[in-house]
Amino acid sequence: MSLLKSPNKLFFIMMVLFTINMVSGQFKTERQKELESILMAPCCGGGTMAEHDDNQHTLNMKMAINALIMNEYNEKNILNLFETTYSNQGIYRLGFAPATKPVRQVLDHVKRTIHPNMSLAEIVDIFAWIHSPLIMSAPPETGIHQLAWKMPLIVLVIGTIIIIFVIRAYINKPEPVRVQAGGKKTDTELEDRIEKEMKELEI
Amino acid sequence: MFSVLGNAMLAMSLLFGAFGIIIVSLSLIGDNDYRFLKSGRMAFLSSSTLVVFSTIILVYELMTSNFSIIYVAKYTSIETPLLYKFTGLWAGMEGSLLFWLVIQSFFFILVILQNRKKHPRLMPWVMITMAVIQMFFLILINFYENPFDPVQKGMVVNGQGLNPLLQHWAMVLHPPALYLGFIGFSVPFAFAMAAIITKNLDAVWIQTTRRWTLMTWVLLTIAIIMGGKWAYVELGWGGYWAWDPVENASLLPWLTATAYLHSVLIQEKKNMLRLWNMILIMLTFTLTIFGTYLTRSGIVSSVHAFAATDLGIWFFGFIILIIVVNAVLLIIRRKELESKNKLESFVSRESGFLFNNMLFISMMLAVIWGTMYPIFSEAVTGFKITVGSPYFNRIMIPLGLLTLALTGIGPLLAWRKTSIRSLKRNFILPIVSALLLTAIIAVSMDLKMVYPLVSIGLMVFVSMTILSEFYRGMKARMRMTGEGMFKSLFTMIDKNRSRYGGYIVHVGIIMMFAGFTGKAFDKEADLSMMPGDIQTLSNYEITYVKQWFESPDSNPDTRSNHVAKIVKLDVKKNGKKFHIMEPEKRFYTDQNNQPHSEVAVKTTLNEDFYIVLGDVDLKTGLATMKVRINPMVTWVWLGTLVLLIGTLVSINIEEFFRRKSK
Repeated sequence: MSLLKSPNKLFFIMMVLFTINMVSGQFKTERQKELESILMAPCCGGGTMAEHDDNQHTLNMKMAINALIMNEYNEKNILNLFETTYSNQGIYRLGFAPATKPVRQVLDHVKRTIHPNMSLAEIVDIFAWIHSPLIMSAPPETGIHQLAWKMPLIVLVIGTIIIIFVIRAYINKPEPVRVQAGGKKTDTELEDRIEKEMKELEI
Repeated sequence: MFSVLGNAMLAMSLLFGAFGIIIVSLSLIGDNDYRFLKSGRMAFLSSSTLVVFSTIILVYELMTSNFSIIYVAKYTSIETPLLYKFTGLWAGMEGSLLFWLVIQSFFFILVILQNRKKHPRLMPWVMITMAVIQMFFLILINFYENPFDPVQKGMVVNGQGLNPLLQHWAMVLHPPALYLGFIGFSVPFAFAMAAIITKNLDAVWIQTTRRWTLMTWVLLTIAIIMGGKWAYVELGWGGYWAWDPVENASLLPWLTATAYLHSVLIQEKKNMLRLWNMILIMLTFTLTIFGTYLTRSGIVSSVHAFAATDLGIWFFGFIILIIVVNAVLLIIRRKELESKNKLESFVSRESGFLFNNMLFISMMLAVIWGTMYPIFSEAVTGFKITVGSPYFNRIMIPLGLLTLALTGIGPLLAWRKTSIRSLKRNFILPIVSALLLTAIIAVSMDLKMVYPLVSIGLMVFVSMTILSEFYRGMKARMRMTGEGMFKSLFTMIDKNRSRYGGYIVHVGIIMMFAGFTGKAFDKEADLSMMPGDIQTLSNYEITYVKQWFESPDSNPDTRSNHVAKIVKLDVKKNGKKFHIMEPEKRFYTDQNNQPHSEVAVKTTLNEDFYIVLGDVDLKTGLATMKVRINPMVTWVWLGTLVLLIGTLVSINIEEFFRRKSK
């Protein structure tokens, strides 16, 4: 029956109280959903925060994010949540993007950085600073990483140009020579027959 | 005892396979001795049969919990339900390699038996190609990942059990479908290799493998969607596709295979694109091996991947071998592969198919690029960058919508050349209806999101084009033959199954796009409730009734390997009774009490009401849960069903069985 005792009761109660007070009964805002999809879950690299609910550290981070974007800005509450999140040593041992800064530094940094109406980029920067840019779910659109975004477009443009050239080359090809050997039907004749039948069907 | 036999069978299979390759190769040298070929065929049949028997032995060991075998002890336990003991066959690296091999062997036997009196020039090379693929997996199994390896020291009393995430019906069906989908492409690939080697480059190899290719494609499609269904109900995050590297690995060959299925029509009808089709099928097969490499090498991070091993180098080597051999053959045969026929116009169905191919290949390259970018960035900058769903969504949604647009445009274009008059006649109605309906939806729902609106417009457009194709064909038939509406419809489909089957597949794709589009409108909320609490979300009202606990003692039949905390929720919609939902939090006792959320989903045609239990304190009753409203998800699953029906119509499965029974 020891299973029934939650391994982290304090965390659970805190989470419950927090959720009851702050968000219960409301749909997540587009902003919250967007942030949870911009940041990876730090536990296993298998998906974004939006895709992870089983990991305690990810849940803690979600709560900190939520506190940052809430209408009622409460610095004390935000700092408390960051302290709870980064006091837990487990977050420094995660498999994918563990925290890299000690809790003291985290709190100093957060205190210096946060303000009401923070932009998404500012919030993401906080977590990228704490966990390294690995925590971001998409490459930045600067420097060499622009290549990540531009390459598919380049491929599409080059592909289109190639297809246009291929079609032109096929159009400008000379007519295939029809060879009549002993009354045997040639490919082209068969094609014409197929074409005729298809036209009949297509009307 | 049996495990020793299984092991010996795998070793003998390797020997028979090697013998077969040598003897069939000898039949090709000199005077083409038929006795050599016959002997080689028997060797391949024996080799494949031995693999089948060794797999049966491993299944037996799994079912009877023979923990003296490492693999059995690692992936099953006494408590594991019987069905999941069976699925343990593909739960780990060694077993899944054997599973790959047994399907490969089964296909090999089928191909040999089906074609024993056909294609005398192609078959020796078909057999050699398939045998080389089989040999690759046999070498891996015999020398590196043997599923029959015994426990070296001591005695294992109970095994570690199966990962709870894999204990789901979708995971019973998804891997076999995926393997069938992946491995099935080895058959058209082998025929393509035989065709290019023997210079039989007409459409014979394509026609011979048409059913294989279509069936394999539809199996891969079903496998991908079933994987999505599993993720949806088992991973508990509310979605079905996360652009995970392993998911991407399954999508890559699907994209090239879809391109191939379209472009092959041009070769069948116009004897063109022979080189291109050859490249596409070679690429598709290579991508199936590449996908396997991604999941087994540990090169990319994924929750779905097998534990990293040093097998990666072998798969990488095999991929290089395939690419080199294919490239050499394509270069040698480039003259013979040139098309003799010509295109007449840019505005033709042939051009439509070419643009469709370009889009599929662009999508494939974009997925590879995104999947491999972390490795590229590490090599260039020394730092690994993550590439997740926001990247893929931004790149793939526009490409997907362009492809959807072509799905509608293609059928309206005539073969050879489309006149301006016919363009006007064919396009006006679908375009006007699409614009009109999109405008109505945008205004009535106050919808401002660009992609969903474009998607809705395109879905209407494509639906109208398909409807008009059916209507015009039916009307013409009714006029010419005097048949009734339904008879003319069914006869029309029967007379041109490939074409109308294809349209039905497109209907399935539209339905799936409806599901994908619904994703833009999903809603999510975190709730914390006490028993007796009532929460209102949108038009839903949730009453928390009670919480309780179940264990193997209280429910030995249904909970043999886990305990569960369960909450009962009475959900009302628009004030009326909707559904009683019971999400669970499970702890798997045979997996170090690994926690797992069992979601509760109530599905309707327009939306899913989806609840994941975070946790519940059984004493106080405090429960946290995630509630989601996921619009249109059912349409993804229904679309797959329609797609399957369309493919079966196209394959003409009835005719296939009629012919077989004769």
